[in-house]
Amino acid sequence: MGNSKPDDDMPDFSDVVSGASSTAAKSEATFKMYTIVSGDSLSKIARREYGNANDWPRIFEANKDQIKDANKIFPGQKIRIPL
Amino acid sequence: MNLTSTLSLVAAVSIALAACGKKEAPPPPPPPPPAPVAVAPAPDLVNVPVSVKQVVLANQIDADKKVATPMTGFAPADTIYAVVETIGSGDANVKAVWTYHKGGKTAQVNETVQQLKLAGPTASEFHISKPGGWPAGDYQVEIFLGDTSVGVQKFTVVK
Repeated sequence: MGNSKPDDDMPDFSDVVSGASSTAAKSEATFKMYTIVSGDSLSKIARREYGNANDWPRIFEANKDQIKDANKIFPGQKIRIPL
Repeated sequence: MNLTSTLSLVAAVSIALAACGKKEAPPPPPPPPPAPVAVAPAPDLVNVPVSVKQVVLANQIDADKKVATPMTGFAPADTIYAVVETIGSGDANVKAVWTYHKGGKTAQVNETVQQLKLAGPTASEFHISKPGGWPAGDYQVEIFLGDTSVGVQKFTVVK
């Protein structure tokens, strides 16, 4: 999912689908970086990313170092979305 | 045959017989077995810091994350893969930042991170696709190890 600033001159990349994998001995985690925009909530992001708003704890757990309250996220905050 | 000839013949035969009966020298003892040599593990498997060997783009990869045909030009419907080949071992955060460039402006397309435990040569792939199709233009993917940029690959999408 792209999360660039809206710009009339630039294409919209919000529907980009991404993934990753590796032949590494062990893959600890794979996640996409996302910058919170105004109007976002974890459940809204979960619905967009996973197709299910109830998956928001997955995002919350991956960002406990910076999100203490799931209801308090801020525009500009850069979070990890587990893939 | 006179006496001299006879004696000569006898002497020659005696020498020949003596030579035939001579004991052969014993064969040399077999060489001692070679001292065991410590086999050094392949350099990639010891504590070599993780580094990026190369970054290759393609619109398809095989099961081993190998690229058969590297590409820098893509079609709008393509899934675009960036395969990052690393050597070394240890923990590594490998990040791909995809961007679109137009008229001096940059838009971020995607940023994906893999947290890996590496133990020797590794191929890690990142891929992106866009259901509506990629806008034509100039793009790049920049690869980071941790926070350090280790390579940039530019590519284009042509309709």
